[in-house]
Amino acid sequence: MQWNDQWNSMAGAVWARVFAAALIGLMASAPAAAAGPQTESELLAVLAGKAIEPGLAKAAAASQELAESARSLCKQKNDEALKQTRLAWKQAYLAWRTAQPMMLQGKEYKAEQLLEHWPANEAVMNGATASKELTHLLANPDVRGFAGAEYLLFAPAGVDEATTAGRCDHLQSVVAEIADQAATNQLQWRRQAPAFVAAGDGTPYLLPGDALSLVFARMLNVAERLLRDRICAPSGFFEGKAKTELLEAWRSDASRQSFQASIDGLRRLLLGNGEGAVVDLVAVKDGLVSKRNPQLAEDVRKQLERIDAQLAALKDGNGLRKDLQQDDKVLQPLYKSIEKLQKQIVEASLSLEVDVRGPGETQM
Amino acid sequence: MKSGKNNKTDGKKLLQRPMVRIAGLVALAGVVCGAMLLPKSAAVQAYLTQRKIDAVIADYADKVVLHTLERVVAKNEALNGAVAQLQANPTDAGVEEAAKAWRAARAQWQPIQSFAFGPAAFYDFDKQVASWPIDRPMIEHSIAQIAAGTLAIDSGLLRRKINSTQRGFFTAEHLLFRDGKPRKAAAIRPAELLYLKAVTQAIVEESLDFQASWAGSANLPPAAAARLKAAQLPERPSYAAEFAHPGAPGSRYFSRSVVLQEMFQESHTVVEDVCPLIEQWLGSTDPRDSESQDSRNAASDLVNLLQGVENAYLGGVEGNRGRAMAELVAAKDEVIDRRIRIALADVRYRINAVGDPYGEPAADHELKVRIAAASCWKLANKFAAAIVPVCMDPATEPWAAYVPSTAL
Repeated sequence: MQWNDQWNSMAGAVWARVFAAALIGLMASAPAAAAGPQTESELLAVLAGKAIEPGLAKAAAASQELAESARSLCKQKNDEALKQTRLAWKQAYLAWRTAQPMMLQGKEYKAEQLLEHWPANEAVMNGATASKELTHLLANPDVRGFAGAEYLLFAPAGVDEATTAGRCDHLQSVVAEIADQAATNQLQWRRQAPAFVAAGDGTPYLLPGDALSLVFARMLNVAERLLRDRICAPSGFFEGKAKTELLEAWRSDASRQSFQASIDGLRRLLLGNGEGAVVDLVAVKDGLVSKRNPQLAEDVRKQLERIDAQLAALKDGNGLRKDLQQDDKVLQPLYKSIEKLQKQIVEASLSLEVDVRGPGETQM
Repeated sequence: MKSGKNNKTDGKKLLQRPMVRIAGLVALAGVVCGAMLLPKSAAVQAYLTQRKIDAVIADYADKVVLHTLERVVAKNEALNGAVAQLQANPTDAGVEEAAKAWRAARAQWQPIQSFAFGPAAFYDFDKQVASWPIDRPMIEHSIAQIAAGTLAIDSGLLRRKINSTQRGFFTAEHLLFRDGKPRKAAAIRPAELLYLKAVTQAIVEESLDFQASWAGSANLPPAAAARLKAAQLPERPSYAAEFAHPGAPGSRYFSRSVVLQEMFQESHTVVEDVCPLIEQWLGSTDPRDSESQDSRNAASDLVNLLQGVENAYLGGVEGNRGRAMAELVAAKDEVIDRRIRIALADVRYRINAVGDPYGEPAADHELKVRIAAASCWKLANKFAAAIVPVCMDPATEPWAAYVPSTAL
């Protein structure tokens, strides 16, 4: 077992080096990439080097920063440390949300979900952090993850309340778990990245499109979660009554920013950051049945701009929550726009003839 | 004239009355609302869906099944004609022509697997026409008997007295090909040509019987009907008639759903059969692992099986398509319909990309075979996902083929 761990760690280091070398190679070929990917393999290389790796690295670094900041807070117990830790939470959460479309971990999805249980269970949190007899309840997902950390950091009126022994212990446990998961995501990706970029050689991806289908499936999942869990549930679209306590990150005044972070993550995969991405291939590649679709590429760009404008017009955090209490349709235009973007992503997958399993289709 | 003018004036006056105007507006609003609400009614929706399904089923019978069988008969007749020419003038060019006709007939036969239910199942036409493996020793024995003058062979004898393993496509293939190429005319004995001619004639007669069983003997062109009679084949009622009228008296199909289940599940079954065959046939370097071992026609056999699925799904052969299964899928989920179309094209492309499995083995041959098989399983998955939403539409009920008599 020890040997295995050692071997895994060595193998991880080797992969990390191979990956770093590949990234350097990619950066060196920047002028070619600037024209935008012309093939699926080129697209995979661009996504791996320019979007996924930086996105996951930023999430891992910000989560690590949060863990260290929480440690400092619990040592120093002053207002400045609380302020810094709150800021670190925000940065870690937004980086996490931006990186979510890049988390291609598949079966590990459940681990990610455990960190995103909204809202935090206030009663259990307050009781279990105050009484040693109830500490076993602090293992439940509804008092952990980002929502748990947000509650511990932003609900208390001041630093004394935020840094009781029970709260500090739990906070450090929760943020360490977040940092571990973010680091695991990055490490797993670094192990998978060479196979992702080399997709088509059969180890394990038979075709470049098979690797690309993971990206599409993930983008669609992120869009679906935005619609279903993050907009629809707090707005109560299908139940008739807004449940504003389900609005994520309202305590930290970061609800709007977290929507924006998810959209930024999708943008990074769809448009890239000057180096080209999914839509650039959509604009130039003919398939067996589908034809290149520059119009769709342009439509996706415009749709993302439209969503940006809608987000800019929203209030953040508690302001948005109060607006939602007054008018449960305040997020409806955003919902419709993201729904349209989701359809455009499906259309892009059809244009590139990338297979994405739908509901009811069996795992091969 | 005068009276007409007065009527017109009276009409104008009537319309100027406020109560009449209001009543008119109310009536107009009612008509508009009715026109808007009617299509939303469940009963109207069910009716429209049923009409659409009826059109798809009718075109499936007409443009998929009957049209395919017409082409099957035509290609088999062409093969029989080419063999007759070869028999009259045994040259290498004649063998090549007959071999070409064999490949064309074989290509046209494969699509029938997508409607391997009904008459194909009742009378087992695939066994009659394409039995595999063949009984080579017994074929050789019969040819030796013909050569010795102890056996007079003809299509009737083949069909009635001799096992299906000694006739059909693969017997014809065995007599026309060796190692993937047409045989040399000089190597073909006269007795082999006599046997071959009886085999191709029997193929024509069996395929005519197949056509008659769907179209109905009475609905065949007079010439075809006369040939069926000459071959002493039985009169067949039209299966297409009962297939296209589910629920009608005399139809074995209890409901639209049962017909749709036949159509969709048979195509899905073909795809599910093809996927392992890709690895079994194209993954092997031994031609004996495939059916068409003498002609080495394995890749074409697979592509043409899938061509049958495509014809079924898109409502007929290219250039003669009608209302299609695809339309029903798209009505439920436009994306899955498009993914099925893409997957159909992709499997064909991937099978063709494998190349000749028996030539110089390519370095990436195994990978290409795996890719083609994986592409096929993707198609199978898409098809499976489409079956339930279409076949279980409430407008197609009852869903079960057999219901307890108490429920009738």
